[in-house]
Amino acid sequence: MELQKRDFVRIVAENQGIIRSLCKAYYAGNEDQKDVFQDIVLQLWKSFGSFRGESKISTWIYKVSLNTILAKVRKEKHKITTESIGNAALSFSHAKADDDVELLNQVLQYLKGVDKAIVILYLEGYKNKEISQMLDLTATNVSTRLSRVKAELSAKFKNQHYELKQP
Amino acid sequence: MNLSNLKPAWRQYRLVNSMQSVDQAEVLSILDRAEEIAVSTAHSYLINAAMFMVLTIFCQGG
Repeated sequence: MELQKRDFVRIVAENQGIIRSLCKAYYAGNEDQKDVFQDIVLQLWKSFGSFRGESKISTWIYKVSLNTILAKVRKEKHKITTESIGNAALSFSHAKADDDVELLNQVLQYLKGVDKAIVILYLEGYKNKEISQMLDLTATNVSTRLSRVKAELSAKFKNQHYELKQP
Repeated sequence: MNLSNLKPAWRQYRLVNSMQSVDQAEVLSILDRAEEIAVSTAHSYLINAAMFMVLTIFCQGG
């Protein structure tokens, strides 16, 4: 058990960049990020025993983390909706996409829920089929949502330095 | 530019967020707390089940 815990802590430490990036992508406040980090660690620990290494560790971490966040977001739907709309509006009116990271920040602030998860996994290099398996969606649904999001982002960012090309 | 052009930015975003070192004690405390909650939940179930049995046995209407 102690050995298993040590392995688990090492895996969390090695992949904390993924977990913290996802926390930050969905929650703006430090306390909220801390809370969701704890929830993710807990869910990872619960499923650690059944992880058989059939997929990459990072894939398992993305899957568990995003599903934990999406479940939490669904529970707090009202709070998140009002906060994220406010943040997105603020960032569009005051920030300029000076570089790719700034543009990425704006895109992440603008997107919500499952759409954001799909875009993150797409940016990580996963194929539509893999994304669908990780988020429990159909591949067609992922493809449709991704096309819609790209169109939406192109329209939203058309006056900015960058343009997002449709597929 | 297409959405794929943001892939390096995502890698950079992830790298920046991995610089904050994880506190091993924090992770272990999360796991310990989860174990405590699981034990206390099991304990509550046991007490409730025992009370239900007592009430069922002794409080039957005649």
